[in-house]
Amino acid sequence: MPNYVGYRYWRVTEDHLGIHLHSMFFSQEWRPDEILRATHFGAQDEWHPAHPAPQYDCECGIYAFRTAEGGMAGKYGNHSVITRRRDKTTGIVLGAVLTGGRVVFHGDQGIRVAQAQPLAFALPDDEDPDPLVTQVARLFHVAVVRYRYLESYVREFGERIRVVA
Amino acid sequence: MRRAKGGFSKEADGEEETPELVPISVPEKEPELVPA
Repeated sequence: MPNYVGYRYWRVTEDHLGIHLHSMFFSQEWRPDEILRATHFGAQDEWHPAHPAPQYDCECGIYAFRTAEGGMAGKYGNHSVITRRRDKTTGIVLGAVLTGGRVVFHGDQGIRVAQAQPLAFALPDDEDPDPLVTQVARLFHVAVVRYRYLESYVREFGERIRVVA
Repeated sequence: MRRAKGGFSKEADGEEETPELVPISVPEKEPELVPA
């Protein structure tokens, strides 16, 4: 049974302590050289008992797309894999993760997993590299690769997940 | 099998147990060094 590779976007913030990588829609921080482990932190009552994450009939787990395109790239422009706010201190980066533990196939394009660790971060294909991506990659001790090479590069670390037609 | 809209189905969504992750060392590479 292989470990799968998935693709995600992260929020990058920068403060006096340095660069921080966060989940897109939660405050969860991803730390260098650490495996992120999912926990169910939603409502817990008699109808929603605590359980290991991810569980198929919940929405918990670490989310990732099955492909780099993932259905989300269009929202940030055509393969424009990094954007910044006007204050220049916050950006969005695309990258790949190696996943482990339980994997729930979520919808047509996604997965929810128990464990994940960044494998690489992507640079736009035809734009000058944004130093923020390189800084993030250095912080996490992983590679930066052009978007068009991302999937082929991470294939050496894990299996591609099947995509529902 | 596809799940009903808004619902979950273990059969349709599927799940697998994969190996526990162990910290891996990923070589830092510049983009130009990554083959097509």
